[in-house]
Amino acid sequence: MSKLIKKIVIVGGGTAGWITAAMLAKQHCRGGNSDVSITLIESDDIPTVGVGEGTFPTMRKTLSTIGISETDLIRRCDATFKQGAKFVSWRLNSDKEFYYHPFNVPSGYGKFDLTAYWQKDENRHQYGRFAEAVDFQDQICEAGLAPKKIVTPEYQSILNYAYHFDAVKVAKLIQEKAVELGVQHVVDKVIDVGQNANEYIEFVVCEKSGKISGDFFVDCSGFAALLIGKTMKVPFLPTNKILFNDTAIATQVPYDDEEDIACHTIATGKEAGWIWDIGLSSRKGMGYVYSSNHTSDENAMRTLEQHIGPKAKNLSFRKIPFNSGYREKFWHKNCVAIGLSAGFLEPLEASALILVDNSVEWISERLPTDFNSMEIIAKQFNHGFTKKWQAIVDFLKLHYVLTERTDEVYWRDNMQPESMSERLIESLALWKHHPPHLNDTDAQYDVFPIASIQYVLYGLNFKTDVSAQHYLYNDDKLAQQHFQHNLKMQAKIQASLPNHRALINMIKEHGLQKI
Amino acid sequence: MTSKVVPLDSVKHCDLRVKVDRSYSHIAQQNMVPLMAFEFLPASTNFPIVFVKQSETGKFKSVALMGLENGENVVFSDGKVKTNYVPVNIKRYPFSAGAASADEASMMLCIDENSQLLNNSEGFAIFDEGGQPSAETTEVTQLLTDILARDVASDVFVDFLVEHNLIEPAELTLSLGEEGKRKINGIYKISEEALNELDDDVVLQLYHHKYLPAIYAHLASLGQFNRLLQLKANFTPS
Ligand SMILES: Cc1cc2nc3c(=O)[nH]c(=O)nc-3n(C[C@H](O)[C@H](O)[C@H](O)COP(=O)(O)OP(=O)(O)OC[C@H]3O[C@@H](n4cnc5c(N)ncnc54)[C@H](O)[C@@H]3O)c2cc1C
Repeated sequence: MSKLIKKIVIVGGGTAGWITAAMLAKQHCRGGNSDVSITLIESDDIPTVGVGEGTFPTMRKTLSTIGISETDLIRRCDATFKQGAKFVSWRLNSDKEFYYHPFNVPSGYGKFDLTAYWQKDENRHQYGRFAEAVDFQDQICEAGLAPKKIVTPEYQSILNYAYHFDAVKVAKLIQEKAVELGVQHVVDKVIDVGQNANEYIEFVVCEKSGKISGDFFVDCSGFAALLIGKTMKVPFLPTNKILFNDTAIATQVPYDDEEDIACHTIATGKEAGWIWDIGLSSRKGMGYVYSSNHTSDENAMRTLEQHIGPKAKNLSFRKIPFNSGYREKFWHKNCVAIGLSAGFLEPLEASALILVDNSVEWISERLPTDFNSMEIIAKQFNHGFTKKWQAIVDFLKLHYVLTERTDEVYWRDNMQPESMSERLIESLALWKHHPPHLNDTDAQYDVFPIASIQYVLYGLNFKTDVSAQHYLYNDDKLAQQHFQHNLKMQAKIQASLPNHRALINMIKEHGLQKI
Repeated sequence: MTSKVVPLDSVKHCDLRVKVDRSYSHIAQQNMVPLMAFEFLPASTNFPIVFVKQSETGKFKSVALMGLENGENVVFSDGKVKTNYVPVNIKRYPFSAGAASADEASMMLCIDENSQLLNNSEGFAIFDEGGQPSAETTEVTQLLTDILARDVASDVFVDFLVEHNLIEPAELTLSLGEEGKRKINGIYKISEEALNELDDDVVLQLYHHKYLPAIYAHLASLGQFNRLLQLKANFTPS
């Protein structure tokens, strides 16, 4: 057996760094009963990116595995529940035009495909939008209701959910837990990196603490990509030919008294990008993500201010430029990149934190014991995550390509086949006559399931013409049962769920039970 | 009729009298009643004692079960009382204790104005001729003052159980003869397994707080589900 992996060093203390530290400590330090040690180094004069407020349901598993109490998350991190995203003005330039991508999967998902039935005129007429016909979460969001009740235990749901939270406060909360689980916390700046002749990292050099050596290094240094980029020079593969957005202007907007808290992210299509609106319990996070090739910073600022309205006068704004893309490899030699150092795509579906969740889960389950197995695991990891990033690029692009906003350059450019991957073009051709199928994706590497693709596709009014095989879709009785069941469930559940803000207040006062 | 609990008012309620109903028919449509920890021992030979979540706060409360479905009471029904212990929260009716204000511990006597027991001719007077609380009312006030403190003590007991992960969902499947089997959801019990694995110092705390009798009374009371089933078998809903 070659050299054992015992000492793990994480560089960076943003959301990615602390989630990685806590998960690895939970699995591998076993309350101090192991000889695996984990050190996290973060600089107090390089701030974290500070945004990243929207999540995906994978976050529930991550936080509960780490041992964070959901009540603490809500009390201390201004967290609220997120049941999906509402896309406004993506198909047409009208604020009445919208669709949902809820986290619940369609009724019958994986067993009985409702999509072809929903496309029948009479059903569309009777049951409405795709998301409201095949599930009821759309309506629960529209009604401003929570996905659970005060009697529902922590992390359990009535409707599937994730969170909106204050990223800085969450990193702090997870940090406390990580330190409790045995992570050594070093506040210092890494100024140099030492590699051996085979380019494996042997140590990092810190301003005050000097050399810190390790067997395995996790690069969570954010956009700086200190290890994977600056040191190891793993190339960055830009995706800006597909996803045009490269700048964000972020701000925080106060609520009016007792204003409802949206239980979903609202993403509103604009001239040259889209605006996010994320409701925390204390304030809203808002920002405009746009393509600097399609608008000027001044115009972008004006667009955001107009969207916010009179309140915009007193706010402070922060501009965050970013490169859209990801690394050619995420795991090179004895270094793996997690978080922004691995890459970044516009924050349209909270994919960044999903990939953090996915990466950490993979690494903590498959932490190599020694340097031989590391090479094999690294290869698998790179293969898997390249697939994941490609799938996300296509999924994000899907939100744009079906637009009918053809009189605006930004949207028109987004519809050009040259701006799409081969795979997306193929999929769209396939879906013209075959509803999306579980086999269409490489399920093992799925980040967004086929359900998500269905919600976006049909939310944007895509037509799948199944007439050539209409006989496959003739169980109208069963379809009606599903549609009717949704209506019944919606009425029943809607009457029993509390208002979202009311539930957050109740949890702040009474807490949620663990069971 | 839904209840309408208001603070007792010597002017508004001066002529009211309270009928004494030893069959406690006011509870006949209710399948559970809050039970305080000090009542667990005497209640345990009569009712299953379980924990349920309060719908407003999600917090656990101990209750005595008197029926197996919503609105069903097989213990107090048809004017009969099939128990030798009547929980304080049944006995006190139509009176109840309210806190005078959120931050004040002093007790305020309240009454359910919609109670069938209230009238102008039968039973004991709430206020005497001089407008002072009658002897019976004073007695009830005393009882309720007592309850208030014991109710708080009961909550502290339940919090202790929750804090030490002693409460678990009670997975109950009842065989209901011809109706087949039915699962009952939403009720919780103390986990014997967790109890047996407690650290010594926690066990000592249980002992010093005098929680042990209540814990074992609760566990023993679970046998009373069979009694409810028997009563139910002989029961025709009114
Ligand atoms: C505009 C915008 C919106 C976003 N919205 C979302 C969203 O809604 N949902 C979502 O999932 N994600 C979102 N993201 C992505 C998300 O913010 C990040 O994925 C997440 O915060 C993780 O960041 P990180 O920990 O990798 O990096 P950072 O938060 O940047 O942390 C980097 C850390 O590295 C440390 N560091 C850097 N250099 C050194 C050094 N030399 N020595 C020591 N320490 C060093 C820093 O001190 C810091 O602690 C968004 C991103 C942007 C830009």
